[in-house]
Amino acid sequence: MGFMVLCMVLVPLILFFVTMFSKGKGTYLIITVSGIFFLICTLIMFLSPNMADINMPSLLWRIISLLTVVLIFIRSIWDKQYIISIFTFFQAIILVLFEILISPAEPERYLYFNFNERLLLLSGAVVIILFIPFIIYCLKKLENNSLNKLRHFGMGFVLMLSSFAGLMAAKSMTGLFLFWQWQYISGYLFLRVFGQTAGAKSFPRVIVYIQQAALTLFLSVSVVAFKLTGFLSMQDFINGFGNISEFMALIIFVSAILMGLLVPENFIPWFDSSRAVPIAGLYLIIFSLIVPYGVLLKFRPLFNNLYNGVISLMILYGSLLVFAGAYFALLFCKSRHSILSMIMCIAGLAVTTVFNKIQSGRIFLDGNPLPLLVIIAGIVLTVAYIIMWISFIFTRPGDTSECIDEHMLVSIIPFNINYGLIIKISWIAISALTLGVSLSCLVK
Amino acid sequence: MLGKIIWFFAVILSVPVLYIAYNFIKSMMPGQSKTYILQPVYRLLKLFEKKDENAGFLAYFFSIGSCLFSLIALYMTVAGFNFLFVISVLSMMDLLVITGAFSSGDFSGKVSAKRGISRFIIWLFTSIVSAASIYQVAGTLKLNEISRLSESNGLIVNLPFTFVSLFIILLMKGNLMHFNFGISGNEQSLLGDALNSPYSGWSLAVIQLAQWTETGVWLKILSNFIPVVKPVSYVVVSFVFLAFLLLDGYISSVEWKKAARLSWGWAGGLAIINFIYLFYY
Repeated sequence: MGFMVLCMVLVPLILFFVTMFSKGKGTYLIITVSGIFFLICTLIMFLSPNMADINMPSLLWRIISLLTVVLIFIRSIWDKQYIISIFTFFQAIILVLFEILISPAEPERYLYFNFNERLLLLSGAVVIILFIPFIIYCLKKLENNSLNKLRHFGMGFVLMLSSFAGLMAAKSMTGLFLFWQWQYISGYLFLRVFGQTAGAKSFPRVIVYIQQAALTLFLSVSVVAFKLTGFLSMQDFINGFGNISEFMALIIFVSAILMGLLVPENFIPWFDSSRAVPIAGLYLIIFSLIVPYGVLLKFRPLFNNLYNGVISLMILYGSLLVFAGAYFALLFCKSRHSILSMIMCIAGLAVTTVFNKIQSGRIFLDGNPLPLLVIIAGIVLTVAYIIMWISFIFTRPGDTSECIDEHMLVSIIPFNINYGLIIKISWIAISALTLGVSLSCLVK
Repeated sequence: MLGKIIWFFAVILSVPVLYIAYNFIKSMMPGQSKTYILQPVYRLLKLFEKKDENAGFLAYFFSIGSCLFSLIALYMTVAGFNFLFVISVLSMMDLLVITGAFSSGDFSGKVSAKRGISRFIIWLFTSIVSAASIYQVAGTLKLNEISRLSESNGLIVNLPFTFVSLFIILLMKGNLMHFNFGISGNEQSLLGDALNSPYSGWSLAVIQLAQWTETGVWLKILSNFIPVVKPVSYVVVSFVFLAFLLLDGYISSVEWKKAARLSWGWAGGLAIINFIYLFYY
């Protein structure tokens, strides 16, 4: 395990505990220092990837996983979120039984960056350092910032860095599970800071429940994967899992989508407060754009074994993300939510790219012109969105009231169709189709 | 190189000639008022003469910028560049005109810009889908290659709907027939985007020149699909365009949103049909 990789994961974790006991003082300093440290580590690792190795026993990671789950379990009981308690309880049971009954061997390198992952990490680190001034500005602008809230924010921020590095570097499914749980805690801490303002009422708890359900399934899949192949490392899934490959891949894909908050519309109210926009943007760029792409890339050896129909449906899902993101961005073009929707649009393109050119052949929906057409439509809407933004720059402020009577989107797509509803139905249809195809492969 | 330069100037001159011919034929028709033969060019020259004290730096910037991009697009077309490159440059041209209209800040400027965006989205979508179809058939997007393949293999046989959809883009750009996005709903000229915006005087004249050049670009692009030698195919397409210019006088104008719906259906729809057909057969 590389020394720098370990630094990137563990140093922010140490800072997490430092912030926890600092009572909120020096949070701005910790945010700045951790961001700069993260960028420096990334640069060093990018320029000199083969630095000193440190052997850290895999048992330690398993204990950390269990501790994380138990922590979430206790906190959920404290917060009276009993559905999360149930999921985390099952996760803890699975982890303990998995360890006692099977004692799986983790990959030799638990954390390691290949070239693509280093590149993604570097882009993420640059984005983080660019966002830090805006984040601090927005936090300072808020007059009634209590020290407690600052402390939570600082804890969330450093844990976000740690989970980002971990998710990019993890080579085993249990590793992904651990760092996704850290991401969950980080998001939870941000919500504690911003969730009590105007957006509190619209906070969709159901997404949190679905995320934990997805993680429970993901953990179960990792157990089954180990039983079938004898490995936990993603790069060893070259031969797939036999008949259940499609079903397992579906759960992995859904986990990446749900943890990436790539469910249209619903994730936006998470960060409704205007002062949350910089951290919301950063959070979404990291966990909705870079991480899902990076994680799905890790599973490409498995995806190469899949039935073409499942692949094409996943591509269709990605293309729909492109269109939906652009559509909602244009719909909210005058509000802060538009940028967040645009991130989802680009994330869709990233998801589609992962599955592109995996296999050839024309079975079921593979070789389907529909994804390409939907992506073209999404890209054209994105262009319209960019024009709108450029136009706003040149338009005199405060002189826009005449055009409010009709939304721009109605001019661009002048048909009386409820596109929002169509997008939602499409999500359901694609999900149902993918599940159907996966199950049909199971009984084949 | 000499051939390209000749084509470049020939296309620039051909569009005003088309409008002069249109003006002449129209004046010959019963019930039409008599006008001078060179009326379209005269109007343009009068615009250059007009001094507009209200026009600011932005109006000049957008008009000159759009004209520059249209000339670049024309050069790329006659030189046989990639179809998508030409589309990108034309997009930049349209973008400058639209942004200029927005920058006026007044009601009618924004309304014309809004219609400009609507038209822009439709032709951009149609062009990209058409490009996908062309690539599927020809395996290239270079216009000189497409022209060569058209002459030898009759490319249009596999791309009939794509050709029609690209021709409808030309009609949209000319505000003709049921594809009229003009500010008054029945524009004869190409000034729909520019009216009631910061453009006036010579900046409006430059915009007019840019849009004439753009028409020439589309005529040249369309001529690449006709399976005859280049000059003949260009003349054929130009005559068809002239016929639609004349036909426009007999077609009642429609409300611009209906024009947008029809454009989506005909331009976008036909491009999609051809693309899907090519994908499966």
